[in-house]
Amino acid sequence: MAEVVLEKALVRFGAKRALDAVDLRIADGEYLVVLGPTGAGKTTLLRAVAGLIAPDEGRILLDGGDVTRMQPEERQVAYMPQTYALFHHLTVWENAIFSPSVKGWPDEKRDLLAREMLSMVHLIERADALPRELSGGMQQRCSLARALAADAEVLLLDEPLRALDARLRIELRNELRSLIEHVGTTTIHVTHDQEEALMLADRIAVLRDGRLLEVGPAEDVYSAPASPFVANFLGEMNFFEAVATPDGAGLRLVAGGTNLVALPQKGLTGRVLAGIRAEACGIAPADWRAGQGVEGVVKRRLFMGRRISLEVETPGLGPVKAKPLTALGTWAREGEEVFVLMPAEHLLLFPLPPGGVAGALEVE
Amino acid sequence: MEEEASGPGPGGASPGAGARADRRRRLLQVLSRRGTIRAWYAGLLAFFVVLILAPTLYVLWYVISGWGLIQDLVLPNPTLVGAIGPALWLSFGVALTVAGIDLVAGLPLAWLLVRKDFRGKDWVNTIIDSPLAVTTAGLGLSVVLFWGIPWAASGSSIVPPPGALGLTSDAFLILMFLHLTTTFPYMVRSLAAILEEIEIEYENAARAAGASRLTAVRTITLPMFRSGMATGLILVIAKALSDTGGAFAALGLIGACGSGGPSTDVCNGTGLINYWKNLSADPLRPEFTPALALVSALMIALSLALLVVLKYVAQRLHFPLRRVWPGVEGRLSRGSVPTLRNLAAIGFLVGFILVPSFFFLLYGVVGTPAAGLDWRGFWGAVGVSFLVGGLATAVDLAAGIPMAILITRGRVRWLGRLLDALVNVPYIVPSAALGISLGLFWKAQRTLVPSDLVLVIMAHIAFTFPFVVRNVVGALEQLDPALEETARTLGAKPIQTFRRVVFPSVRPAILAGAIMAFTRSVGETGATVSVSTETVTIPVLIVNLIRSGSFYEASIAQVALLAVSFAAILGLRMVVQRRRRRG
Repeated sequence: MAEVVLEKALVRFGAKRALDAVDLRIADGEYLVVLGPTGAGKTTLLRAVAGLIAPDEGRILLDGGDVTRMQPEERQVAYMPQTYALFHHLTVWENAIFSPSVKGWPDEKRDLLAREMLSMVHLIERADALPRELSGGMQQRCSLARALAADAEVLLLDEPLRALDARLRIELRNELRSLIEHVGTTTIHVTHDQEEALMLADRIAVLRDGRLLEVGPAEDVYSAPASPFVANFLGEMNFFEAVATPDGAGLRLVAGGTNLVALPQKGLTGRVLAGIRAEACGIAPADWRAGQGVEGVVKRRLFMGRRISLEVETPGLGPVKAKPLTALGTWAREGEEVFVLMPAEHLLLFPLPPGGVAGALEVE
Repeated sequence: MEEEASGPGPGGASPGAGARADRRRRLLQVLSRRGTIRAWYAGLLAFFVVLILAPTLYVLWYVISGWGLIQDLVLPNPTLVGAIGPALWLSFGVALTVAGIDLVAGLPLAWLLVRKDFRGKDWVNTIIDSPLAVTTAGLGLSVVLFWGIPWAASGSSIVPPPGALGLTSDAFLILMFLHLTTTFPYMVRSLAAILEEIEIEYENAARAAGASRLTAVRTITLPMFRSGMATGLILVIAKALSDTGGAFAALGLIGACGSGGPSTDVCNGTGLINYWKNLSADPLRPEFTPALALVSALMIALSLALLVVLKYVAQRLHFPLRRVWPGVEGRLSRGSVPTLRNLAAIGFLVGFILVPSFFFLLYGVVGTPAAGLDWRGFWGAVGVSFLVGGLATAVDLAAGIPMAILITRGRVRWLGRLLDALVNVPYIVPSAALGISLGLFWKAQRTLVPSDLVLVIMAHIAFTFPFVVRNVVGALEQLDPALEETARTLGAKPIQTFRRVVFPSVRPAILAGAIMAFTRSVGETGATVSVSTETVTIPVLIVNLIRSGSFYEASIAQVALLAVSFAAILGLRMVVQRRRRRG
């Protein structure tokens, strides 16, 4: 179990900076999820820690030791790629014992570890099967068992659930986390799925264009994100410009003729960018006023299973998206007049981005 | 790092096993060291350059540095000089013509094989490859018997088997008919391989958009074909240029190329090399050695130039006509036209390839034995062929696999690309010319002159080496790099990664390369005779039989050879099946 540190790690592919001077410290035994859009540099980060890419500048430290120039096979870091990369000519068992085998472990010790890992992932009955005979979920578990049996200091998972269908993904999410917790290895898990990230992580690191935007405990990053991009990436946001003035213990926000109260954040006053998550918005009939918000007309209504997605056109704040739970919002129909509730505790404030809101939210 | 047992452990591991594991680990450490790997690759490069590349190209240097000798002995001799031009013309002219015909006739056939499913498809596949089982000399005999008017040195007239067409004695036409049989399977295979890769989805998309089948194929599929077509053409041209046994046998049979017959001065390039090599054994005629060098150098230089031109043209050539003629092409795509086209393709296959290839078998039935086959000589030749082929293949594997790794996985990328190109040189160069060059190379340095047999083996190593390398390179390039990367992160050193992960995946390609190298060696005439006039391999035996007029014996020998090859392939297949079932 080791602490992983990236110190101003920089990786260039031609003119592009895949990793742009990233400083990151992952504690011993921590489960860190690196979240970001496609092309953000997440895989590059993993490969740099694994030793498959050498950073052009900066250092990688494992347990305090500088491993920047060390070969992957020396590093004690196990890497589980997106495609699982199971050795297709070897059985499940042979895949599992691969790492201790090549490291020269005595047979008994090797078998013990492999058996333990395969039992943990519930694949011990299929030990003689070849990878092509396994289902997607089983292949994932086999790849995980093989990585765990490497007895490595750090576990690197590259979108481990991506290749699975939606239902399996949710099922295995929990299993994955509890298995790794049981072993206690420092883990870096890369994904673009924010729900997955929020659910599994001790801490989340948000990456964009090779730069680390924010690192912190999942709940903190979710409820108090540092930037509009992170806020939006973790759950669709409604943004609007407002003027904030202190008012007693809180802040008065004035935007487009609407008055809202918000909690003080980051010491911001004056012209600010305010935002609220669509999921945090409630929906009430037009004449019901138990709470603050804006009134408007439902322009589009989409049933999404657990939630209802409503696009509400409001004279005060323009188009607003609300995603109440179906049980609470199913009554609202297209064309109906509604009141969008915006509780004060869910209003987030950010400094106005210089390039405009659209640029700040761009994913590419 | 976990403690490793080096004494009696809880499981009762013996100290001996511990010591052995220790030694193995230390060996692994040494072998994985950067310095060791570098030394290994340096040795490999030295092997390739000194044993394969330099001997192949040496004759070019010989001609330039020994120009004085050529000026004195060869140029003043009109017979010699006058023979070279027409010979090169014949070789290259036939090769290019045959390539063109192969392409036109091979395309519809390849299409049928890939796009259509019909009963007996497996049979058709095997049949198309069947001429490859016959030595080129046997094909030469067969082709002359079928298409040509045979001539015998003894002066007696030869009665060809019934069904012979007896159309012509023209050297160009006979060689053309011959090389259609030696090269057609290669063209069909190359085209089929590419067609299989081009997804039919593109064509379907075009047709769904309203294009007729012909238009879709012409404007969408065919352009995707381009680089593969170039490869097919290069393969075919190299094969046609290189063939010695077939040309020499066929030309001899129509009274050409040193047979003493009516057109004894007419030769193609490799035939000329064969003819002059025999004459150069005479110490009183020293002019033949520089003459051979000159012809070989010219053939090598021209083949390499042709290769470069073809590659360049393949990149730049655009299929003409973006224009579409919906009416005409639509009509050509429907109804009887495609059927007629398919029939024509099959007709070509049967009439121009299959029948002429196996026509000689009839001779075994109706011919009259002059003396009966010398079976001791036959089995001796089989032994020599298998020995040469076996050793050459073994060396090919030992050096070729590491070479393929160096090309695909080496750190110095430009070196890998350079080697990838250079490895093709012994393949492109006509093998008879290669043999001359190699012989001159080793005879030139005084300290260690290898025996004739060793020289033959070295020549065979040189031109079969590319088969192994190209096959393994292809397989390595297809391998998912994630497999090797994952293995490394799991702790496997490079050698372990190769042995446990890479090798099992490329094993089929290695086997395929080995089989190709072996069969190519066994079928080779040119490289053998141009190095040594005494080493008798099977193809040499058959050429000799044919040129001495013993057609019956040659047919019997060829049939016996077919039986031996068939048995060998069957045996190999059984061994592979058994191992697969066990493993």
